[in-house]
Amino acid sequence: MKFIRLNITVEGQTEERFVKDTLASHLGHFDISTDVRRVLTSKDKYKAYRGGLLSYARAKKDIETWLKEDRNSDICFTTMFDLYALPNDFSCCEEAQRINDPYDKVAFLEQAMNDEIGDHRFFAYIQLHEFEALVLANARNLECEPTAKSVSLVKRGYSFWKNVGQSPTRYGPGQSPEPA
Amino acid sequence: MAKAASKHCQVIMATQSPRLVDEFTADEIVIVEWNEEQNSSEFSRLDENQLSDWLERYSLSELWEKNVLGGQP
Repeated sequence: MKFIRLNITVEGQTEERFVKDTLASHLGHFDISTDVRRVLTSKDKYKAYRGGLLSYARAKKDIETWLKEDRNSDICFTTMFDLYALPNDFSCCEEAQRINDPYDKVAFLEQAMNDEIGDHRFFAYIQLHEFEALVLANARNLECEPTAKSVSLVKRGYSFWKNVGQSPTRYGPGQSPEPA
Repeated sequence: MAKAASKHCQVIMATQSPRLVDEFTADEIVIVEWNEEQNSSEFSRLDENQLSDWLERYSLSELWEKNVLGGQP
């Protein structure tokens, strides 16, 4: 099998650690080696307290600079940006606001970004659920936190969403969590 | 101080301080990383020309933090 290199541009330190500590070894099983760079630094700390990428223009420039620096054709580039608090200057942001289905919205934004970057090695990835939601997605991992009551609550929530077969963030406040 | 001393002899400093790094140019910096597979340390000197597009927008300490330079924990 051919060895693939994957360069990931992420938002901040949390995502960077996730790629280094978890994703890199997982992708290693598929002969994919990863390199990760982040957009935000500690200088952004005070502005970034609400989370999110702050400036799409800056993220885009970071990606373009990396694409230019590493011209090999056997490298793939991707991103790990949250949909939540995606900056307003993101490509086609206004059009995307009119799309109700969150999966369609993400697909639309990713395509818009791919078109704008315009390099066949680049495939945008936008995270529908915040990174933290992924960390908590497997309720069983929380069993190591031995508060019996909270574990059983988490389990109930877990089986509930599993049965519903839909993701929690599909529903806004007051909406009924029934499958669409 | 390091620059004054370097007129008389070669000065090598090891640091984890971003602020100290900003006092120097890219060409003066060598990144040391542990290579687990080879079981050895790898030294690589930064290339100012290669980094020029990055250096237009960021300081060396920022690039270090962004993992553009490597040499991170």
